[in-house]
Amino acid sequence: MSSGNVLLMTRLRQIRVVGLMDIRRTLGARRGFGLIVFALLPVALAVLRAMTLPDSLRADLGRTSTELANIFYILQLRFIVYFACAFLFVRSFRGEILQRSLHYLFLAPVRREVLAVGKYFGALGSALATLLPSTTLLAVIFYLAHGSELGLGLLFTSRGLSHLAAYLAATALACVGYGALFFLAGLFFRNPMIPAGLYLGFEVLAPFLPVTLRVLSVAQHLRAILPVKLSWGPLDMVGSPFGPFVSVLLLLVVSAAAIALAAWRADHLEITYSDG
Amino acid sequence: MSADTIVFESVSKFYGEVLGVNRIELSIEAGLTGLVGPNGSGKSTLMNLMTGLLMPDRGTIRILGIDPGDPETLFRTVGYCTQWDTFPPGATGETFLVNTLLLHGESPGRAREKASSMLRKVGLEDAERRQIAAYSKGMKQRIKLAHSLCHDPRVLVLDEPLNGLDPTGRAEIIELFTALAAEGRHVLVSSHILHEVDLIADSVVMIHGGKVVAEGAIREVREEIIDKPIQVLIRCDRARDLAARVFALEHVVQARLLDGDFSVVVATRDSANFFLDLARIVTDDQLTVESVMPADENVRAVYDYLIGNEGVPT
Ligand SMILES: Nc1ncnc2c1ncn2[C@@H]1O[C@H](COP(=O)(O)OP(=O)(O)OP(=O)(O)O)[C@@H](O)[C@H]1O
Ligand SMILES: [Mg+2]
Repeated sequence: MSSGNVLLMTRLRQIRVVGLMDIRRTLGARRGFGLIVFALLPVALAVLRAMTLPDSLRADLGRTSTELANIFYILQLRFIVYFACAFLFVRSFRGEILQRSLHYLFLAPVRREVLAVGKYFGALGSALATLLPSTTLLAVIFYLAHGSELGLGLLFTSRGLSHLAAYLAATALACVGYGALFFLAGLFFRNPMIPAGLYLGFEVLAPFLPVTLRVLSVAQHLRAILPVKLSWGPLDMVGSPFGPFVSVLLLLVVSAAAIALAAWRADHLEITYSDG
Repeated sequence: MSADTIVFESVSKFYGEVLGVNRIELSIEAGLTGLVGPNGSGKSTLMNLMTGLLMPDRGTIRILGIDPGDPETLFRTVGYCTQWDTFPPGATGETFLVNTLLLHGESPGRAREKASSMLRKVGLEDAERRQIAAYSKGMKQRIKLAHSLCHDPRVLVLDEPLNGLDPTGRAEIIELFTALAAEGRHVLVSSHILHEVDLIADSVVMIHGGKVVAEGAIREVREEIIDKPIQVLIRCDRARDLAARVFALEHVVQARLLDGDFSVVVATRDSANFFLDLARIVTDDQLTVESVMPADENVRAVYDYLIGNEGVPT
């Protein structure tokens, strides 16, 4: 192997080590308990719905798809995934600074940029490990409300499975996108709630903003890949202007840019532990 | 030469307005070096600069030729035991070292082997499965040392590593340092107690107010200190008379008038006798003295501070 390849392999291995350490730090030994409870809130709601669904609606599967799409988009993506990512990714560096343990990473023979990428993937791993099961349970319980035969029968058609796949993809992409932005925020802001609140406001206003700004809205891109088109009447000014493929591409580009900026910032970070 | 030396060239670091260190010029050879200075003198700042945790505002630093801004290269050569007593949450002695060794590129098996031999080396083999959060202060100091030593670095930077250790622990750890230095490594140990390093170090760097005030083999530094006069500023009613009287004293090398007739700066080689003589002159001549204070913050003043009330060694 050329020395360039050896270096690349070494750095990939370092990313893996840093990422796994980060996942253990977040989810190990009951530390992820609160996060898991939070991620299960929509599932609890789905259970409640299943128990209280009037018999007249149990046979109506057309409404279920739309209802699930709305719950998924509004509750799961824009609230649960959003705040779970805010917690996980802002905390990634900021938490190490608050706990005064960041220097142990900075004292390893690992480039700061590599550390940053490793930390990002670690937080992403924790996010996916909690949020993908939550999305799966949410969808399955939604269908199960219509009885195991009818509901599961629909779920296991190719249409049902492709919907589930789309929800899982949207959840994963939401983690990638929100994660990258919050990761970057964690390297600049002391209080994570400030950028989280500001960005939430931006996303609410995004449909009314020029297309160039809308590129930065993760929610807009995610909406383009939902399996069921959402329409909220007059309030719903514009849907995503981009098709699913372009949306995913833009989301990945924006995420990569945020991670690159975060890596640059990490390279210039000094450890004083005096500014919390 | 710089390939086996730690070099600071005109290095300054400010924390906003606050001075960290100023225009540091240093060159540190292999062996055990003591970095000594009172609280807030800039010891930790200097060490953080050496290890890239801080970046200098001015000047350059090279550790055996390596730029501290390149951690990938630097930490194959350098181990750093910091002043912070914090650890990753939930870490046990074992997981802490294993993770460190994994970051250093060891395989999981090798990492576990090396971790347990390192824990034995610092006397923590019985506590390896316990959470570090529940360790005593001395044990925390030892696990930090193990962390800085576990990858077998050629340069060891240790910030007050003897803090929190009992006398037996100190003796053990000091023995470890001397052994490491004898192997040809650079071992830099900071302390605010001079005699703690004075006995073991090959050389000392004395720092005060962010500046290096003395540097070299411990014996040379001590001689430089003893020979250096201290300056005292005295305000009194008849400064001219006082200047004439003190200048006649054998240990006074200079007496200089300031502010016309109201103050005099006296340089003396023997501060203890000078103050006795001054007291005698003042009563004999019935002078009215307003104030007596050190006129400079020189190396002697720092040295006197550092050795506390043990008296100046001869
Ligand atoms: N994070 C910081 N923010 C602002 N000023 C700082 C910071 N860290 C250190 N300083 C200042 O820099 C100067 C040098 O501090 P430093 O911690 O390097 O001293 P030290 O010799 O290690 O002291 P000690 O013996 O107490 O550990 C002091 O005046 C200190 O107040
Ligand atoms: Mg210090």
